[in-house]
Amino acid sequence: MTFLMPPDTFSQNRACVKTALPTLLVFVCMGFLLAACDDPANVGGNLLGAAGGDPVNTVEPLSSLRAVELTQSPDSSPRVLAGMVDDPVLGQYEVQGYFDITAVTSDDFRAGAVEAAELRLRRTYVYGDSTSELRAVLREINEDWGTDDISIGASFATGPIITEFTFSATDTLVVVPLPDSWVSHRDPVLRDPDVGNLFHGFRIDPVEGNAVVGFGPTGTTLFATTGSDSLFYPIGKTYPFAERSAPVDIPENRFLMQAGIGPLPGFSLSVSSDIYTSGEPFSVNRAMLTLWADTLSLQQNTPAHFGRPLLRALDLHARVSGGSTYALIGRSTMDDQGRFVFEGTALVRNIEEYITENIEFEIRIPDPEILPATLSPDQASYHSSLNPILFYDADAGDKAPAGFITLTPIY
Amino acid sequence: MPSLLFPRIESGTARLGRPLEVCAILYLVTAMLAVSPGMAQDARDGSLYSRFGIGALQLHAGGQGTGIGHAGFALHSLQYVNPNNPGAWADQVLTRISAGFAYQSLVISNENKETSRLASGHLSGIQLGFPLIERKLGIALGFAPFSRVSYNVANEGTLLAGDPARPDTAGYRVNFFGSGGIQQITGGLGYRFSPNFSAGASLNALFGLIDDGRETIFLEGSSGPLFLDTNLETSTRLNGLSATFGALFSVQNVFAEEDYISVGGAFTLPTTLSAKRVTTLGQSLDRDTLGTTISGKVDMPWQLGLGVAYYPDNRWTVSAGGKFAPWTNLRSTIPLPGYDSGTAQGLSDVVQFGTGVEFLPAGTDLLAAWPARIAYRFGISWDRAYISPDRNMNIETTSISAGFGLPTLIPGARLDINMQVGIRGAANADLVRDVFYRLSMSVNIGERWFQTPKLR
Repeated sequence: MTFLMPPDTFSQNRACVKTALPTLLVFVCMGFLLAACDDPANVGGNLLGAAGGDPVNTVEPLSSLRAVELTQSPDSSPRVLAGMVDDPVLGQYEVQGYFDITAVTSDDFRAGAVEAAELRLRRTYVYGDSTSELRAVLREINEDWGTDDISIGASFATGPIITEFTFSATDTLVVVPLPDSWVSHRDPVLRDPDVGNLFHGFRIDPVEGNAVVGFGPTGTTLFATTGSDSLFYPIGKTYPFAERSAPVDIPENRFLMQAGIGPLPGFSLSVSSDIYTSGEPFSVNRAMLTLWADTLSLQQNTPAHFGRPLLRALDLHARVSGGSTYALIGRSTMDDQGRFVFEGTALVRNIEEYITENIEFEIRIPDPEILPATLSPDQASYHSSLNPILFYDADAGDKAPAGFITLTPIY
Repeated sequence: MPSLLFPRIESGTARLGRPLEVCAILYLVTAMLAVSPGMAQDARDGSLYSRFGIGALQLHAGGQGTGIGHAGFALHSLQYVNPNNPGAWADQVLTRISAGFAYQSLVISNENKETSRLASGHLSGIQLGFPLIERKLGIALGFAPFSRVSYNVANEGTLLAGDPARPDTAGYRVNFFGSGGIQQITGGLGYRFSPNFSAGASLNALFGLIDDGRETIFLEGSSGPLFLDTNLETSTRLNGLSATFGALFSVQNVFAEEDYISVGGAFTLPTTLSAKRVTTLGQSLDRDTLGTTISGKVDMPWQLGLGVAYYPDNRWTVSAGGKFAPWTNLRSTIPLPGYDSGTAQGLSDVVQFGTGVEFLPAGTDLLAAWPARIAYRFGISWDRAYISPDRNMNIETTSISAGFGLPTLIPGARLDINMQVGIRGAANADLVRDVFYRLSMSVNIGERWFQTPKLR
């Protein structure tokens, strides 16, 4: 028999185990019993004295809203806006709708001459008198209008009137046959594989009516037929040239933001409380920027059949004063009290880091490519709309834009 | 010189792979397993008084001294390495290793009779001693907590949620917590100048990390307003050196034949700890360092401990002792909780008294029945803390202790179990009362090492 240890050592270890095991049992039992009693409470907080850690609220006014020029991306939601409207609250304006087509082709289509073409416009948006009859003319765009952001107010060269058409604001599909002369003239271009570069699109100019309508993006095409084939050219980039024809007369201490026309509101957060200027560090627990919308003024003096969809979702962008680019730091949907409340981690982090500097904010139309799930289909197409919102300005008392900041002083 | 009637316990073997190592490991694992539920609670579940200063000073008297009221300055035993007095290290026969763990249940109450229950476990100390010249020159090494920070308390409050349209309130809780402390590694020698007198000295390395945290946590649910918590943590690293000089004087046949009395004392030099403090803000990976590292110094005072032990015969040990340290001289260039920079406000001189008795029915009879070979201990201790959150009131601790020194089947080894119940502070408007129940266990093993067998 082989022992790993000498016999005496073995017996000593066995004895050692005999002693250790009951000890283990007793201690483990006591350990668990005592652990089960663990019940930390707030007893003793009075010993701490002025140990800090209590959060405080500060209310910081936002500077008066300033107008920021709206830029329009032709790549944004391709809806063609066109029409003219006399808004009883916001005044008169008209919109010319630029739109391009997306190049498609087929061998069969190219084999024969284009015999007929028509625009099929699926209405998806109405702003104005829903009972209005509209008359418009169609022109061809004669220059390449690129894909860069287009400043509101830019216009592009067009040719002569191709055709004139009328439709009702409630029509869901407007079919505009294109004259044979135009068809035969543009036949080579329409059948060219490079039609996307050779053809620059159309512009719809309103002539008469009291509504701005939007067509597309789905179901809005240029439909062309040859003897052997037919093609649907979907609409491509769009751009609404919107122009006020009369100055708007909005109530005092209000700021009008309107998609498609602008301007956008910009403002600054410049804190004045001692806690910020003392130089002592603090931690921001919550930051909330609130802008009140005046929905009542928009509802007043508006006929029942006059539709004016509002901007109900907005993005908040921010940059440090002098910074080059704005970053999206929040999105808000108007609540039942007519408020846009921006809050979130990104806003907290920005304010915590830059609050002692001047932070510039801009309210923008929601970008549907960022967090698309947070937007309804209607909100995702705000870029191609004239939806307005009327904000209370800095002089509007309790409803002035303000920042509510909860912070914890470090020391 | 009194022949020091302690039994000369010989070990069974001196080879490696021997029961000493095996049993040491077994006991240590046992102890660690036993205290693990408490450790799992959190290293923060201790007295709130440990928040102040550099933490609550720890009394480490070893397995024997703890059971007799921390009255250990004059204890003279071949069975234990006295951690309090280097002068006692001269008289050693066996190589001794001891390790102790403590488990504490704490009930904190305030004047409103609200209570908080916490439990935690911690290492109470490790000691190694062996003779260089048997009973003439001995060496000892030790590791023990010098101070301990372990607290967790919360204040709750409400504030307006910050939404003027909906003036609801938001609840929040501010958690204050701390952990860590200063550890002490001691190494030194004791020399027996005469049969009656021995003296020794040790070098003490003090080092440690004290973490103090403060969390502001908002109690809103996921549907409530979005609040981000604030988590502030301050880590202070301290280190320094000090030295202790000790002496032990023994006289035999004082009141009766075969009795003897020992008088011992230890003096620890004042020391300066260098400190570096880093403050961070944020959660886990998002944590940012706040400002730059702060460097400073903490001046700690000297300490004098005195004791007397009387041995009427080889069964009884009666010990008493105490220590004094002028902690009103504490000065720190870095902010410490409860300490007003440059002043003695809130500080007190540390005073500690303890007395106790040990009864070993079998005396030196190694063949007596097992219960007779158990050492029964009882002690009382009182001390005054060096810092108080209430400028007008000292924090005093009174405790009683009782314990057993269990013999094992391994010669030279003992298992010491001590229970301590104490009250610290007072339940009034400015303080709280801690009632603590502490269970400590230490394993103390002795064996001959470093000796060449004379017979082959």
